[in-house]
Amino acid sequence: MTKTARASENLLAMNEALILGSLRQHELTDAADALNVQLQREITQRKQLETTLRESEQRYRVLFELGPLAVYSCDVAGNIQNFNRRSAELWGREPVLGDIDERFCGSFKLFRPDGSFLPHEQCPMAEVLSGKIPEARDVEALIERPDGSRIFVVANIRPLKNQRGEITGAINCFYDITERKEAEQRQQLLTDELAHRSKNLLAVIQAVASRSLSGTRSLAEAREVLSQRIHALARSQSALAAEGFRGAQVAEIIRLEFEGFSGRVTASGPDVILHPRLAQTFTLVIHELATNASKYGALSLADGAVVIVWSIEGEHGAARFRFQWQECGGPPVVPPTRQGFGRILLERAAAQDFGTSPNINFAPEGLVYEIDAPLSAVEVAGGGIRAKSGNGKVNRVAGIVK
Amino acid sequence: MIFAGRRVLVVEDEFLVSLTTIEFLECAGCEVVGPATTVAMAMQFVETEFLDAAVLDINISGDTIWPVAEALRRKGVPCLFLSAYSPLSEIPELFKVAPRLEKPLEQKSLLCHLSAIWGAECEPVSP
Repeated sequence: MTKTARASENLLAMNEALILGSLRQHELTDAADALNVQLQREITQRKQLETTLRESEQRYRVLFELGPLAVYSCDVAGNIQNFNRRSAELWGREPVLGDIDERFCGSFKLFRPDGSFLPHEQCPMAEVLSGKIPEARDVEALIERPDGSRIFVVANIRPLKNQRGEITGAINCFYDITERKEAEQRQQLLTDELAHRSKNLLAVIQAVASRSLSGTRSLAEAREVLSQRIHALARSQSALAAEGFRGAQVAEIIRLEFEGFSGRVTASGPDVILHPRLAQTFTLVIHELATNASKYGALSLADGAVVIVWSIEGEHGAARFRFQWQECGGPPVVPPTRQGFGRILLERAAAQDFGTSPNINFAPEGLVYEIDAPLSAVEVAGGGIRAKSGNGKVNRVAGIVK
Repeated sequence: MIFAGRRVLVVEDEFLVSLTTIEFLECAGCEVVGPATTVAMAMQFVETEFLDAAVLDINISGDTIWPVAEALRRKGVPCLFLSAYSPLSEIPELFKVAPRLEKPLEQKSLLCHLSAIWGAECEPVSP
């Protein structure tokens, strides 16, 4: 072959190679382009997923933080992984994440509802993590905070599991039910109190009935006397109800007794709230004095009158309650000879319940009945509204001043 | 008669309620010691008086009667508890088995329990 022919062949071969190479390059470029488009699509998809995930996570995070529920989670070993603001509020503290001495619960101390101590290692979270219980549903517990205060909570715990069904951790949602518990306790106290008062009142009626029906009265007269005394007791209940049963106002007891009466009785004195125990006795005493006054005393005559005055003398521990019933304008006073229930009420009942014997003076001008007792023995704690010095607001019992 | 001359301490802070208890006891022939209206007063009676039994109101002027009951128990004086309403949970373990009566007091019931305390037979109380 000549040199020229060989050179020509070489040129042709190189040309072919170039063309093939160029074709190949186009293929590769096309392939690269296609891959590029695919990649772009995948990247966009991935970015969208990430955005969706981030938004979703953000939503849950906001829910987690702002929700009224306290939420926290632990890993299978019991290490607290995260907790929301509400948990920290209820615990009264923030546990140190990853601290192995602070496992299962972020509270300072835990107690069972009956008050017995519950170590963190035995709490419901620990039991769910160990598989001892499958879950905790509406479990009650007492959380003690670092400042010593305690709150009642209800907890719900669910385990977290991996694809093989093994427990990897757990989430606890709990909330404060202290107010509900306190309401339940108040309710129980009220019920107990109510039962106590009813039985007590019946015991008093039993005593009054027994004494009113014994003695030398005719049955008809006894029945009338008993009926009147029971009504007096009913009035003492009204006076007690007016103060929410914590006690009864002296003024109210007197006002109720004389509601049916027409004038000639004046009464005045400061706010004094008698202890419920004394309220009943005092009502019966006032009723007895009023009944006697209308039968034999000042109120049995048109010109007769009764003046009732009470006051508080002295201050604080030395304060005394002074009460006086004074009759005038009635028939000449004759001391009673009979030691009936009425006299037992006026003398012994008052003496025992007020702590000091009353002074009964059968003065010829009119009966005088006086009580002088320490205020602390007579009035409920918290008592009536009075100015610091003096007697403050004075009650003039309305409707019976003439 | 099982009741004649027996000395019974009555602890009750409400006068009218104590009247009933005292009446029932005296009618039966017992001698009533008291009534004591406070724990302090009751303790004094426990120290100074010879007693065959005691009828104790559980709530006395804001206090509970348990210190008095304990003192009586140490002296071997049987107790009977009286209350308008006392949940079992509030009664100390030691006194849960002691006879407990509710107010208002029933005469038959009181006397029956006292007979039992003093070792005599007692007629069944109608329910």
